[in-house]
Amino acid sequence: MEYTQEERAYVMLSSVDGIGPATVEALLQRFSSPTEVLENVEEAAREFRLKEPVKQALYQRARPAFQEAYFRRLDQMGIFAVSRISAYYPQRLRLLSRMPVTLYAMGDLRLLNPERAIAIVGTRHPSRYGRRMAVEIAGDLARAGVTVVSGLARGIDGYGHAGCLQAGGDTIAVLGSGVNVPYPRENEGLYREIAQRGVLVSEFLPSAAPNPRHFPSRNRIISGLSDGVLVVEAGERSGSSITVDHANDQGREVFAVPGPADAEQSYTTNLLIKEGAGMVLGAQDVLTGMGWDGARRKPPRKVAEEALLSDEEALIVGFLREGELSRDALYDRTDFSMPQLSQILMELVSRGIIEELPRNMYTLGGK
Amino acid sequence: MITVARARGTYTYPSRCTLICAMNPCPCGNYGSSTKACRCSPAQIQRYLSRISGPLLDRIDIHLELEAVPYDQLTSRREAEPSAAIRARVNQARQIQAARYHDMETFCNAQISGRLLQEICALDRECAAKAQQYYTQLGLTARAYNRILRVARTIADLEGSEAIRLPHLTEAFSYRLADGKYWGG
Repeated sequence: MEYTQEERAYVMLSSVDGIGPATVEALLQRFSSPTEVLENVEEAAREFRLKEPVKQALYQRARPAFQEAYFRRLDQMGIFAVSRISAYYPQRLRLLSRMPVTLYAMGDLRLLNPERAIAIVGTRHPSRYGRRMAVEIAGDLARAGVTVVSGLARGIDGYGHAGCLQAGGDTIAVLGSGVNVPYPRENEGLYREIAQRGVLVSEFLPSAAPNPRHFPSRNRIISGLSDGVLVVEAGERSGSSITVDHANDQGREVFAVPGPADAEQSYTTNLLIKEGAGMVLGAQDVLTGMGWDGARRKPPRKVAEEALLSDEEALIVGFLREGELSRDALYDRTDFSMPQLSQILMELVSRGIIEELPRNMYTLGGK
Repeated sequence: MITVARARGTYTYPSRCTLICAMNPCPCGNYGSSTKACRCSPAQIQRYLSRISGPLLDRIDIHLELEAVPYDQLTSRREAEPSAAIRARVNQARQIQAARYHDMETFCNAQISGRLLQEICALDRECAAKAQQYYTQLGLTARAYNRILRVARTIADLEGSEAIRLPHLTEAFSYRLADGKYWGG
Protein backbone atom coordinates (compact mmCIF):
# COMPACT_ATOMS: atom_id res chain seq x y z
CA MET A 1 0.00 0.00 0.00
CA GLU A 2 1.15 3.55 -0.78
CA TYR A 3 1.46 5.96 2.12
CA THR A 4 1.91 9.72 1.94
CA GLN A 5 4.73 11.31 3.92
CA GLU A 6 2.18 12.65 6.34
CA GLU A 7 0.56 9.25 6.88
CA ARG A 8 3.95 7.71 7.50
CA ALA A 9 4.72 10.32 10.10
CA TYR A 10 1.43 9.61 11.92
CA VAL A 11 2.13 5.88 11.90
CA MET A 12 5.68 6.43 13.14
CA LEU A 13 4.65 8.76 15.91
CA SER A 14 1.93 6.46 17.19
CA SER A 15 4.17 3.38 17.02
CA VAL A 16 6.29 4.63 19.94
CA ASP A 17 5.56 2.88 23.20
CA GLY A 18 4.73 5.73 25.60
CA ILE A 19 3.03 8.01 23.10
CA GLY A 20 -0.71 7.48 23.24
CA PRO A 21 -3.55 9.34 21.55
CA ALA A 22 -3.50 12.05 24.24
CA THR A 23 0.21 12.80 23.78
CA VAL A 24 -0.20 12.89 20.01
CA GLU A 25 -3.03 15.36 20.52
CA ALA A 26 -0.84 17.56 22.72
CA LEU A 27 2.14 17.37 20.37
CA LEU A 28 0.00 18.43 17.44
CA GLN A 29 -1.25 21.45 19.39
CA ARG A 30 2.32 22.59 19.62
CA PHE A 31 3.77 21.41 16.29
CA SER A 32 1.93 21.84 13.02
CA SER A 33 2.22 18.19 11.93
CA PRO A 34 3.67 14.82 12.95
CA THR A 35 6.48 15.34 10.40
CA GLU A 36 7.32 18.51 12.26
CA VAL A 37 7.51 16.54 15.52
CA LEU A 38 9.91 14.00 14.03
CA GLU A 39 12.08 16.85 12.76
CA ASN A 40 12.22 18.48 16.20
CA VAL A 41 12.61 15.58 18.57
CA GLU A 42 14.91 17.42 20.95
CA GLU A 43 12.48 20.27 21.41
CA ALA A 44 9.46 18.00 21.72
CA ALA A 45 11.20 15.83 24.30
CA ARG A 46 12.15 18.86 26.39
CA GLU A 47 8.79 20.60 26.28
CA PHE A 48 6.73 17.49 26.92
CA ARG A 49 9.20 15.93 29.36
CA LEU A 50 9.40 12.75 27.29
CA LYS A 51 11.44 9.97 28.88
CA GLU A 52 14.77 9.04 27.38
CA PRO A 53 13.65 5.77 25.71
CA VAL A 54 10.73 7.60 24.11
CA LYS A 55 13.07 10.27 22.80
CA GLN A 56 15.43 7.65 21.38
CA ALA A 57 12.52 5.84 19.73
CA LEU A 58 11.48 9.11 18.08
CA TYR A 59 14.98 9.72 16.76
CA GLN A 60 14.99 6.23 15.36
CA ARG A 61 11.64 6.74 13.63
CA ALA A 62 12.79 10.02 12.09
CA ARG A 63 15.35 8.10 10.01
CA PRO A 64 14.19 7.36 6.42
CA ALA A 65 15.85 3.92 6.49
CA PHE A 66 13.86 2.89 9.58
CA GLN A 67 10.62 4.06 8.00
CA GLU A 68 11.44 2.29 4.75
CA ALA A 69 12.03 -1.00 6.57
CA TYR A 70 8.94 -0.59 8.77
CA PHE A 71 6.53 -0.12 5.89
CA ARG A 72 8.19 -2.81 3.81
CA ARG A 73 7.64 -5.26 6.68
CA LEU A 74 3.96 -4.28 6.87
CA ASP A 75 3.57 -4.87 3.13
CA GLN A 76 5.21 -8.27 3.41
CA MET A 77 2.87 -9.29 6.22
CA GLY A 78 -0.20 -8.00 4.37
CA ILE A 79 -0.89 -5.46 7.09
CA PHE A 80 -2.25 -1.98 6.39
CA ALA A 81 -1.50 0.92 8.69
CA VAL A 82 -4.62 3.06 8.66
CA SER A 83 -3.76 6.36 10.26
CA ARG A 84 -6.19 9.04 11.32
CA ILE A 85 -5.73 10.98 8.08
CA SER A 86 -6.23 7.93 5.84
CA ALA A 87 -9.38 7.83 3.74
CA TYR A 88 -10.04 4.38 5.17
CA TYR A 89 -9.90 5.47 8.81
CA PRO A 90 -13.33 4.76 10.36
CA GLN A 91 -15.40 7.91 10.22
CA ARG A 92 -17.23 6.84 13.38
CA LEU A 93 -13.99 6.90 15.37
CA ARG A 94 -12.98 10.33 14.07
CA LEU A 95 -15.88 11.84 15.94
CA LEU A 96 -14.78 10.38 19.26
CA SER A 97 -11.96 11.45 21.53
CA ARG A 98 -8.98 9.36 22.54
CA MET A 99 -9.27 7.06 19.60
CA PRO A 100 -6.16 5.35 18.21
CA VAL A 101 -4.03 7.45 15.86
CA THR A 102 -3.23 4.38 13.83
CA LEU A 103 -5.25 1.20 13.33
CA TYR A 104 -3.51 -1.82 11.86
CA ALA A 105 -5.77 -3.80 9.58
CA MET A 106 -5.88 -6.92 7.43
CA GLY A 107 -8.59 -7.70 4.90
CA ASP A 108 -10.97 -5.39 3.08
CA LEU A 109 -10.36 -1.82 4.29
CA ARG A 110 -13.56 -0.56 2.69
CA LEU A 111 -15.51 -2.44 5.34
CA LEU A 112 -14.20 -0.06 8.02
CA ASN A 113 -16.84 2.47 7.03
CA PRO A 114 -20.07 0.50 6.79
CA GLU A 115 -23.42 2.16 6.32
CA ARG A 116 -24.87 0.35 9.33
CA ALA A 117 -22.94 -1.46 12.03
CA ILE A 118 -24.00 -3.34 15.17
CA ALA A 119 -21.61 -4.80 17.73
CA ILE A 120 -22.57 -8.24 19.03
CA VAL A 121 -20.78 -9.00 22.28
CA GLY A 122 -21.11 -11.20 25.34
CA THR A 123 -19.73 -13.86 27.59
CA ARG A 124 -16.95 -16.26 26.71
CA HIS A 125 -19.03 -19.04 28.25
CA PRO A 126 -22.46 -18.80 26.66
CA SER A 127 -25.30 -21.26 27.09
CA ARG A 128 -26.68 -23.06 24.08
CA TYR A 129 -29.43 -20.47 24.03
CA GLY A 130 -26.90 -17.65 23.88
CA ARG A 131 -25.03 -19.32 21.09
CA ARG A 132 -28.20 -19.88 19.11
CA MET A 133 -29.35 -16.29 19.55
CA ALA A 134 -25.94 -14.85 18.62
CA VAL A 135 -25.73 -16.89 15.42
CA GLU A 136 -29.33 -16.25 14.46
CA ILE A 137 -29.44 -12.52 15.15
CA ALA A 138 -26.05 -11.93 13.51
CA GLY A 139 -27.25 -13.81 10.42
CA ASP A 140 -30.51 -11.87 10.22
CA LEU A 141 -28.70 -8.55 10.71
CA ALA A 142 -26.25 -9.51 7.97
CA ARG A 143 -29.14 -10.30 5.65
CA ALA A 144 -30.58 -6.86 6.42
CA GLY A 145 -27.28 -5.35 5.25
CA VAL A 146 -25.87 -4.61 8.71
CA THR A 147 -22.16 -5.08 9.40
CA VAL A 148 -21.46 -7.10 12.55
CA VAL A 149 -18.64 -5.84 14.77
CA SER A 150 -17.09 -7.89 17.56
CA GLY A 151 -13.87 -8.88 19.29
CA LEU A 152 -13.24 -12.43 18.04
CA ALA A 153 -13.21 -13.66 21.64
CA ARG A 154 -14.43 -17.16 22.34
CA GLY A 155 -18.13 -17.48 23.04
CA ILE A 156 -20.66 -14.88 21.89
CA ASP A 157 -18.11 -12.79 19.95
CA GLY A 158 -17.11 -15.72 17.80
CA TYR A 159 -20.71 -16.85 17.25
CA GLY A 160 -21.66 -13.32 16.18
CA HIS A 161 -18.88 -13.25 13.57
CA ALA A 162 -19.71 -16.78 12.44
CA GLY A 163 -23.45 -16.15 12.10
CA CYS A 164 -22.72 -13.06 10.04
CA LEU A 165 -20.26 -14.81 7.73
CA GLN A 166 -22.62 -17.76 7.27
CA ALA A 167 -25.23 -15.33 6.00
CA GLY A 168 -22.68 -13.80 3.64
CA GLY A 169 -22.44 -10.54 5.59
CA ASP A 170 -19.61 -8.11 6.31
CA THR A 171 -17.90 -8.33 9.66
CA ILE A 172 -15.22 -6.39 11.55
CA ALA A 173 -13.13 -8.11 14.21
CA VAL A 174 -11.32 -5.86 16.69
CA LEU A 175 -8.41 -7.73 18.24
CA GLY A 176 -6.71 -7.38 21.60
CA SER A 177 -3.48 -8.64 20.08
CA GLY A 178 -1.45 -7.57 17.05
CA VAL A 179 -3.60 -7.79 13.94
CA ASN A 180 -1.42 -10.61 12.57
CA VAL A 181 -1.75 -12.67 15.75
CA PRO A 182 -4.73 -15.08 15.69
CA TYR A 183 -6.25 -15.41 19.14
CA PRO A 184 -7.85 -17.34 20.77
CA ARG A 185 -6.83 -20.62 19.25
CA GLU A 186 -10.31 -22.01 18.78
CA ASN A 187 -11.21 -19.02 16.59
CA GLU A 188 -8.25 -19.36 14.24
CA GLY A 189 -10.50 -20.62 11.47
CA LEU A 190 -12.75 -17.60 11.91
CA TYR A 191 -9.71 -15.34 12.00
CA ARG A 192 -8.59 -16.60 8.59
CA GLU A 193 -12.07 -16.33 7.15
CA ILE A 194 -12.44 -12.74 8.35
CA ALA A 195 -9.04 -11.86 6.86
CA GLN A 196 -10.44 -13.15 3.55
CA ARG A 197 -14.01 -11.88 3.63
CA GLY A 198 -14.12 -9.23 6.33
CA VAL A 199 -11.62 -6.99 8.04
CA LEU A 200 -9.44 -7.47 11.13
CA VAL A 201 -8.28 -4.39 13.04
CA SER A 202 -6.14 -3.72 16.06
CA GLU A 203 -4.80 -0.62 17.74
CA PHE A 204 -1.82 -2.65 18.98
CA LEU A 205 1.43 -2.98 17.09
CA PRO A 206 1.74 -5.91 14.70
CA SER A 207 2.90 -9.13 16.38
CA ALA A 208 1.87 -7.87 19.85
CA ALA A 209 0.94 -10.85 22.01
CA PRO A 210 -2.65 -11.05 23.28
CA ASN A 211 -2.81 -9.29 26.61
CA PRO A 212 -5.91 -9.39 28.81
CA ARG A 213 -5.11 -5.85 29.96
CA HIS A 214 -5.62 -4.74 26.36
CA PHE A 215 -9.11 -6.18 26.13
CA PRO A 216 -11.05 -3.44 27.95
CA SER A 217 -9.38 -0.79 25.77
CA ARG A 218 -10.22 -2.81 22.69
CA ASN A 219 -13.89 -2.73 23.74
CA ARG A 220 -14.08 1.06 23.27
CA ILE A 221 -13.18 0.52 19.62
CA ILE A 222 -15.82 -2.19 19.21
CA SER A 223 -18.54 0.16 20.42
CA GLY A 224 -16.95 3.12 18.63
CA LEU A 225 -17.08 1.35 15.27
CA SER A 226 -20.75 0.52 15.76
CA ASP A 227 -24.05 2.39 15.77
CA GLY A 228 -25.40 0.16 18.52
CA VAL A 229 -24.19 -2.57 20.85
CA LEU A 230 -26.13 -5.79 21.39
CA VAL A 231 -25.23 -7.89 24.44
CA VAL A 232 -26.47 -11.45 23.93
CA GLU A 233 -25.45 -13.05 27.23
CA ALA A 234 -23.22 -11.68 29.99
CA GLY A 235 -22.62 -12.79 33.54
CA GLU A 236 -22.21 -10.65 36.62
CA ARG A 237 -18.64 -9.46 36.11
CA SER A 238 -18.35 -9.24 32.40
CA GLY A 239 -16.20 -7.41 29.87
CA SER A 240 -19.45 -6.68 28.11
CA SER A 241 -20.36 -4.19 30.85
CA ILE A 242 -17.26 -2.23 29.86
CA THR A 243 -18.34 -2.23 26.24
CA VAL A 244 -21.77 -1.01 27.36
CA ASP A 245 -20.20 1.80 29.42
CA HIS A 246 -18.20 2.90 26.38
CA ALA A 247 -21.32 2.68 24.21
CA ASN A 248 -23.17 4.96 26.61
CA ASP A 249 -20.27 7.46 26.67
CA GLN A 250 -20.07 7.39 22.90
CA GLY A 251 -23.81 7.86 22.43
CA ARG A 252 -24.40 4.40 20.97
CA GLU A 253 -27.67 2.50 21.38
CA VAL A 254 -27.54 -0.41 23.81
CA PHE A 255 -29.56 -3.58 23.29
CA ALA A 256 -29.74 -6.84 25.20
CA VAL A 257 -31.24 -10.28 24.70
CA PRO A 258 -33.30 -11.38 27.72
CA GLY A 259 -32.65 -14.74 29.38
CA PRO A 260 -33.93 -16.83 32.28
CA ALA A 261 -34.08 -14.78 35.49
CA ASP A 262 -31.92 -17.31 37.33
CA ALA A 263 -29.31 -17.92 34.61
CA GLU A 264 -25.84 -16.72 35.47
CA GLN A 265 -25.09 -15.89 31.85
CA SER A 266 -28.11 -13.59 31.61
CA TYR A 267 -27.43 -11.62 34.79
CA THR A 268 -26.06 -8.52 33.05
CA THR A 269 -28.33 -8.68 30.03
CA ASN A 270 -31.49 -8.88 32.12
CA LEU A 271 -30.19 -6.06 34.30
CA LEU A 272 -29.49 -3.90 31.23
CA ILE A 273 -33.06 -4.40 30.05
CA LYS A 274 -34.35 -3.48 33.49
CA GLU A 275 -32.27 -0.31 33.31
CA GLY A 276 -33.69 0.64 29.94
CA ALA A 277 -31.65 -1.10 27.25
CA GLY A 278 -33.66 -2.13 24.20
CA MET A 279 -34.98 -5.66 24.61
CA VAL A 280 -34.09 -7.77 21.60
CA LEU A 281 -35.97 -10.96 20.75
CA GLY A 282 -34.74 -10.96 17.18
CA ALA A 283 -32.79 -8.91 14.65
CA GLN A 284 -35.93 -6.97 13.81
CA ASP A 285 -35.93 -5.38 17.26
CA VAL A 286 -32.45 -4.00 16.58
CA LEU A 287 -33.47 -2.65 13.19
CA THR A 288 -36.58 -1.05 14.66
CA GLY A 289 -34.66 0.31 17.64
CA MET A 290 -32.14 1.92 15.33
CA GLY A 291 -34.89 3.31 13.10
CA TRP A 292 -33.63 1.29 10.16
CA ASP A 293 -36.60 0.38 7.91
CA GLY A 294 -39.47 -1.67 9.18
CA ALA A 295 -40.00 -5.21 7.94
CA ARG A 296 -42.22 -7.36 10.15
CA ARG A 297 -40.89 -9.67 12.81
CA LYS A 298 -40.09 -13.10 11.50
CA PRO A 299 -42.60 -15.66 12.78
CA PRO A 300 -41.13 -18.49 14.86
CA ARG A 301 -39.81 -21.36 12.79
CA LYS A 302 -42.16 -24.22 12.07
CA VAL A 303 -41.08 -27.78 12.46
CA ALA A 304 -40.84 -29.03 8.91
CA GLU A 305 -42.10 -32.53 9.53
CA GLU A 306 -44.95 -31.43 11.74
CA ALA A 307 -47.59 -32.97 9.51
CA LEU A 308 -45.96 -36.38 9.91
CA LEU A 309 -46.05 -36.43 13.69
CA SER A 310 -48.26 -38.78 15.64
CA ASP A 311 -50.48 -37.23 18.32
CA GLU A 312 -48.04 -38.26 21.05
CA GLU A 313 -45.08 -36.85 19.18
CA ALA A 314 -46.91 -33.63 18.41
CA LEU A 315 -47.64 -33.21 22.12
CA ILE A 316 -43.94 -33.45 23.00
CA VAL A 317 -42.93 -31.15 20.16
CA GLY A 318 -45.54 -28.69 21.39
CA PHE A 319 -43.99 -28.58 24.85
CA LEU A 320 -40.51 -28.18 23.45
CA ARG A 321 -41.58 -25.28 21.29
CA GLU A 322 -41.72 -23.25 24.50
CA GLY A 323 -38.09 -24.05 25.22
CA GLU A 324 -35.72 -26.74 26.35
CA LEU A 325 -37.14 -29.27 28.77
CA SER A 326 -35.66 -32.18 30.68
CA ARG A 327 -36.94 -35.72 30.38
CA ASP A 328 -38.32 -35.46 33.91
CA ALA A 329 -40.12 -32.21 33.14
CA LEU A 330 -41.75 -33.81 30.11
CA TYR A 331 -42.69 -36.80 32.25
CA ASP A 332 -44.38 -34.49 34.76
CA ARG A 333 -46.36 -32.73 32.07
CA THR A 334 -47.68 -35.81 30.30
CA ASP A 335 -49.41 -39.04 31.22
CA PHE A 336 -46.84 -41.20 29.47
CA SER A 337 -45.00 -43.91 31.34
CA MET A 338 -41.24 -43.44 31.36
CA PRO A 339 -40.70 -46.21 28.77
CA GLN A 340 -43.38 -44.68 26.54
CA LEU A 341 -41.86 -41.26 26.88
CA SER A 342 -38.36 -42.57 26.19
CA GLN A 343 -39.60 -44.26 23.08
CA ILE A 344 -41.27 -41.13 21.74
CA LEU A 345 -38.17 -39.06 22.49
CA MET A 346 -35.89 -41.61 20.89
CA GLU A 347 -38.03 -41.66 17.79
CA LEU A 348 -38.05 -37.86 17.50
CA VAL A 349 -34.30 -37.69 18.12
CA SER A 350 -33.52 -40.28 15.50
CA ARG A 351 -35.60 -38.37 12.96
CA GLY A 352 -33.77 -35.16 13.76
CA ILE A 353 -36.95 -33.37 14.85
CA ILE A 354 -35.69 -32.84 18.36
CA GLU A 355 -32.20 -32.91 19.75
CA GLU A 356 -31.04 -34.59 22.95
CA LEU A 357 -28.72 -32.25 24.83
CA PRO A 358 -26.37 -32.92 27.70
CA ARG A 359 -28.05 -33.50 31.07
CA ASN A 360 -31.13 -35.26 29.67
CA MET A 361 -32.43 -32.04 28.16
CA TYR A 362 -34.35 -31.88 24.92
CA THR A 363 -34.82 -29.09 22.42
CA LEU A 364 -36.35 -28.67 18.99
CA GLY A 365 -33.80 -29.71 16.40
CA GLY A 366 -32.95 -28.08 13.12
CA LYS A 367 -29.90 -25.85 13.20
CA MET B 1 -10.41 -64.84 31.77
CA ILE B 2 -7.26 -63.01 32.67
CA THR B 3 -3.89 -64.33 31.65
CA VAL B 4 -0.81 -63.14 33.49
CA ALA B 5 2.57 -63.87 31.89
CA ARG B 6 5.65 -63.82 34.12
CA ALA B 7 9.18 -65.17 33.78
CA ARG B 8 8.37 -68.28 35.75
CA GLY B 9 5.28 -69.16 33.85
CA THR B 10 1.89 -68.17 32.60
CA TYR B 11 -1.21 -68.33 34.75
CA THR B 12 -4.76 -68.10 33.63
CA TYR B 13 -7.44 -67.13 36.10
CA PRO B 14 -11.16 -67.29 35.54
CA SER B 15 -12.51 -63.76 35.70
CA ARG B 16 -15.69 -61.88 34.94
CA CYS B 17 -16.34 -58.33 35.88
CA THR B 18 -19.01 -55.71 35.68
CA LEU B 19 -17.50 -52.31 35.08
CA ILE B 20 -19.37 -49.39 36.55
CA CYS B 21 -17.65 -46.04 36.26
CA ALA B 22 -18.54 -42.37 36.52
CA MET B 23 -17.09 -39.14 35.20
CA ASN B 24 -17.85 -35.43 34.99
CA PRO B 25 -18.67 -33.74 31.70
CA CYS B 26 -15.76 -31.30 32.15
CA PRO B 27 -13.18 -30.26 34.77
CA CYS B 28 -15.54 -27.88 36.59
CA GLY B 29 -18.52 -30.22 36.28
CA ASN B 30 -20.98 -27.65 34.94
CA TYR B 31 -20.70 -28.24 31.21
CA GLY B 32 -24.16 -28.77 29.78
CA SER B 33 -25.97 -27.40 32.81
CA SER B 34 -28.76 -25.00 31.95
CA THR B 35 -28.42 -22.87 35.05
CA LYS B 36 -24.77 -23.02 36.08
CA ALA B 37 -22.05 -21.56 33.89
CA CYS B 38 -19.19 -23.77 32.81
CA ARG B 39 -15.81 -22.16 33.38
CA CYS B 40 -13.87 -24.52 31.14
CA SER B 41 -12.51 -23.62 27.73
CA PRO B 42 -13.52 -25.82 24.79
CA ALA B 43 -9.93 -27.06 24.65
CA GLN B 44 -10.07 -28.06 28.32
CA ILE B 45 -13.34 -29.93 27.84
CA GLN B 46 -11.94 -31.64 24.78
CA ARG B 47 -8.83 -32.71 26.70
CA TYR B 48 -10.90 -33.92 29.62
CA LEU B 49 -13.29 -36.00 27.53
CA SER B 50 -10.54 -37.43 25.37
CA ARG B 51 -9.24 -39.32 28.38
CA ILE B 52 -11.96 -41.82 27.44
CA SER B 53 -11.23 -42.88 23.89
CA GLY B 54 -14.03 -43.62 21.41
CA PRO B 55 -13.26 -47.35 21.14
CA LEU B 56 -13.29 -47.69 24.94
CA LEU B 57 -16.57 -45.79 25.16
CA ASP B 58 -17.99 -48.06 22.49
CA ARG B 59 -17.41 -51.06 24.77
CA ILE B 60 -19.48 -49.57 27.59
CA ASP B 61 -23.07 -50.74 27.08
CA ILE B 62 -25.07 -48.26 29.07
CA HIS B 63 -24.37 -44.54 29.24
CA LEU B 64 -26.50 -42.63 31.72
CA GLU B 65 -26.45 -38.94 32.56
CA LEU B 66 -27.21 -37.99 36.13
CA GLU B 67 -28.13 -34.59 37.47
CA ALA B 68 -27.29 -33.14 40.85
CA VAL B 69 -29.96 -34.16 43.36
CA PRO B 70 -31.84 -31.20 44.85
CA TYR B 71 -32.01 -31.11 48.64
CA ASP B 72 -35.74 -31.65 48.91
CA GLN B 73 -35.40 -34.89 47.02
CA LEU B 74 -32.67 -36.06 49.37
CA THR B 75 -35.02 -35.61 52.27
CA SER B 76 -38.18 -36.58 50.44
CA ARG B 77 -40.48 -39.05 52.17
CA ARG B 78 -41.53 -40.40 48.81
CA GLU B 79 -40.34 -43.96 48.63
CA ALA B 80 -38.11 -44.95 45.77
CA GLU B 81 -38.28 -48.57 44.67
CA PRO B 82 -36.58 -50.56 47.44
CA SER B 83 -33.44 -52.50 46.60
CA ALA B 84 -35.13 -55.71 47.69
CA ALA B 85 -37.74 -55.34 44.97
CA ILE B 86 -35.07 -54.63 42.39
CA ARG B 87 -33.11 -57.66 43.56
CA ALA B 88 -36.19 -59.84 43.15
CA ARG B 89 -36.65 -58.55 39.61
CA VAL B 90 -33.01 -59.15 38.73
CA ASN B 91 -33.11 -62.66 40.18
CA GLN B 92 -36.21 -63.41 38.17
CA ALA B 93 -34.52 -62.23 34.99
CA ARG B 94 -31.50 -64.34 35.83
CA GLN B 95 -33.73 -67.37 36.27
CA ILE B 96 -35.36 -66.75 32.90
CA GLN B 97 -31.90 -66.62 31.38
CA ALA B 98 -30.73 -69.71 33.27
CA ALA B 99 -33.73 -71.60 31.93
CA ARG B 100 -33.12 -70.36 28.42
CA TYR B 101 -29.46 -71.41 28.46
CA HIS B 102 -29.88 -74.55 30.63
CA ASP B 103 -28.23 -76.89 28.16
CA MET B 104 -25.47 -74.51 27.13
CA GLU B 105 -22.23 -73.29 28.57
CA THR B 106 -23.48 -69.75 28.90
CA PHE B 107 -25.88 -68.58 31.53
CA CYS B 108 -26.59 -64.95 30.75
CA ASN B 109 -27.26 -62.67 27.78
CA ALA B 110 -23.84 -61.08 27.85
CA GLN B 111 -22.12 -64.36 27.06
CA ILE B 112 -24.02 -65.70 24.10
CA SER B 113 -22.19 -66.18 20.84
CA GLY B 114 -22.87 -64.23 17.68
CA ARG B 115 -24.76 -67.07 16.04
CA LEU B 116 -27.01 -67.60 19.02
CA LEU B 117 -27.54 -63.87 19.26
CA GLN B 118 -29.50 -63.82 15.98
CA GLU B 119 -31.81 -66.49 17.32
CA ILE B 120 -32.28 -65.32 20.88
CA CYS B 121 -32.43 -61.61 20.14
CA ALA B 122 -34.59 -62.02 17.06
CA LEU B 123 -36.50 -58.88 16.15
CA ASP B 124 -39.92 -58.74 14.58
CA ARG B 125 -40.38 -56.71 11.47
CA GLU B 126 -41.35 -53.50 13.25
CA CYS B 127 -38.36 -53.71 15.60
CA ALA B 128 -35.98 -54.57 12.77
CA ALA B 129 -37.07 -51.52 10.81
CA LYS B 130 -36.56 -49.27 13.84
CA ALA B 131 -33.22 -50.85 14.62
CA GLN B 132 -32.05 -50.07 11.12
CA GLN B 133 -33.29 -46.47 11.41
CA TYR B 134 -31.61 -45.87 14.78
CA TYR B 135 -28.40 -47.64 13.82
CA THR B 136 -27.97 -45.52 10.70
CA GLN B 137 -29.05 -42.21 12.17
CA LEU B 138 -27.01 -42.51 15.34
CA GLY B 139 -23.97 -43.64 13.37
CA LEU B 140 -23.31 -46.68 15.57
CA THR B 141 -20.69 -49.38 15.19
CA ALA B 142 -21.40 -53.08 14.62
CA ARG B 143 -20.03 -53.77 18.12
CA ALA B 144 -22.40 -51.27 19.66
CA TYR B 145 -25.33 -52.80 17.78
CA ASN B 146 -24.37 -56.23 18.98
CA ARG B 147 -24.41 -55.05 22.54
CA ILE B 148 -27.61 -53.08 22.16
CA LEU B 149 -29.37 -56.32 21.20
CA ARG B 150 -28.15 -57.99 24.40
CA VAL B 151 -29.23 -55.03 26.49
CA ALA B 152 -32.64 -55.07 24.80
CA ARG B 153 -32.93 -58.80 25.52
CA THR B 154 -32.12 -58.16 29.16
CA ILE B 155 -34.66 -55.35 29.44
CA ALA B 156 -37.27 -57.71 27.99
CA ASP B 157 -36.25 -60.39 30.53
CA LEU B 158 -36.57 -57.91 33.37
CA GLU B 159 -40.15 -57.33 32.28
CA GLY B 160 -40.74 -61.04 31.85
CA SER B 161 -41.43 -60.57 28.16
CA GLU B 162 -40.95 -63.51 25.83
CA ALA B 163 -40.01 -61.37 22.84
CA ILE B 164 -38.01 -58.17 22.48
CA ARG B 165 -40.60 -55.48 21.88
CA LEU B 166 -40.14 -51.99 20.54
CA PRO B 167 -39.96 -50.23 23.95
CA HIS B 168 -37.20 -52.61 25.04
CA LEU B 169 -35.23 -52.00 21.90
CA THR B 170 -35.71 -48.25 22.05
CA GLU B 171 -34.57 -48.09 25.66
CA ALA B 172 -31.44 -50.06 24.79
CA PHE B 173 -30.67 -47.61 21.97
CA SER B 174 -31.29 -44.61 24.21
CA TYR B 175 -28.36 -45.64 26.43
CA ARG B 176 -26.07 -44.87 23.49
CA LEU B 177 -26.84 -41.18 23.03
CA ALA B 178 -24.15 -39.69 25.28
CA ASP B 179 -21.45 -40.62 22.82
CA GLY B 180 -22.67 -38.28 20.09
CA LYS B 181 -23.61 -35.52 22.50
CA TYR B 182 -20.30 -35.17 24.25
CA TRP B 183 -17.66 -36.86 22.15
CA GLY B 184 -19.21 -36.33 18.73
CA GLY B 185 -19.25 -32.54 19.15
